Amino acid sequence: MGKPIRIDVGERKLGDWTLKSFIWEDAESGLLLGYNHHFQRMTKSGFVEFVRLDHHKKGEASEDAPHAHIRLEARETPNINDSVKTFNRLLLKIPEIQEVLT
Amino acid sequence: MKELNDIHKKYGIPDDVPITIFDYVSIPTPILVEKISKLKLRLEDNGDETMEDSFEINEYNTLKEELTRRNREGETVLSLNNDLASLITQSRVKLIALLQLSGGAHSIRELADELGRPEKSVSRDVEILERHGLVNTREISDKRGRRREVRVGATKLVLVPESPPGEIEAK
Repeated sequence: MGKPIRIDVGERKLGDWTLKSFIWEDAESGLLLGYNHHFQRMTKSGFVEFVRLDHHKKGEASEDAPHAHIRLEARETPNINDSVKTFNRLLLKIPEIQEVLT
Repeated sequence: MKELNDIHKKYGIPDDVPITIFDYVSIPTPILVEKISKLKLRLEDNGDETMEDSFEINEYNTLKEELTRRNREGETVLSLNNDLASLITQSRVKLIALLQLSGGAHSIRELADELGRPEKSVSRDVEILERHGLVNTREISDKRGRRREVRVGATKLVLVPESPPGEIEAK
């Protein structure tokens, strides 16, 4: 690898989602090293929904594949249930979001 | 360095969305080493269970790659602040010169004997110089016992302005 950089992309609106992104790349070769795309929106029922699309290298095939973390939090009572802090980890199968990003 | 317009185009980012480029190459070595240690501890505790972890995994990998590159190219990066003046003392310059002239590895005791200094103060200097990438050490154990071996570290010194490290360009 040559010289790494991180690209911090400012917030932008995509439909009712707000998106904040971090992209890591090798500035010399232009090779993509990893990314985090963090989506957030308010649902009609008053929950804040977070979806994060990740790609990073941990050295294991199952971990290295692009995947998503999803979290739902009550807006008014953040500590309603500590278990919501543990995120569901999903393989990347969200066509709607994939479409937006490509 | 890439032009910001190229990055907007490459990743499909609208022109009116600001981007900031964080350049790992300009992070002073002591800060780089400290960040890696902290992130390593945090990730050992959690793994990939939270959204914050995911960001940190990418940060950790990138910082580690940058440190590997510096070691491979014999480079260290230091910040132009007051610490630099106190880092380069006459005793430490002599220590580095001794390592460079003699080549190879030396134990702390050998260095102390050669320099005519107490082992304890040589050991402290080695620790400080290692943190700044100017010497490398490794623990070895053989029939002579267990000891720390010291070698020349970086031979290429890059000086960067004092903070904020890394952030080089913003729109």
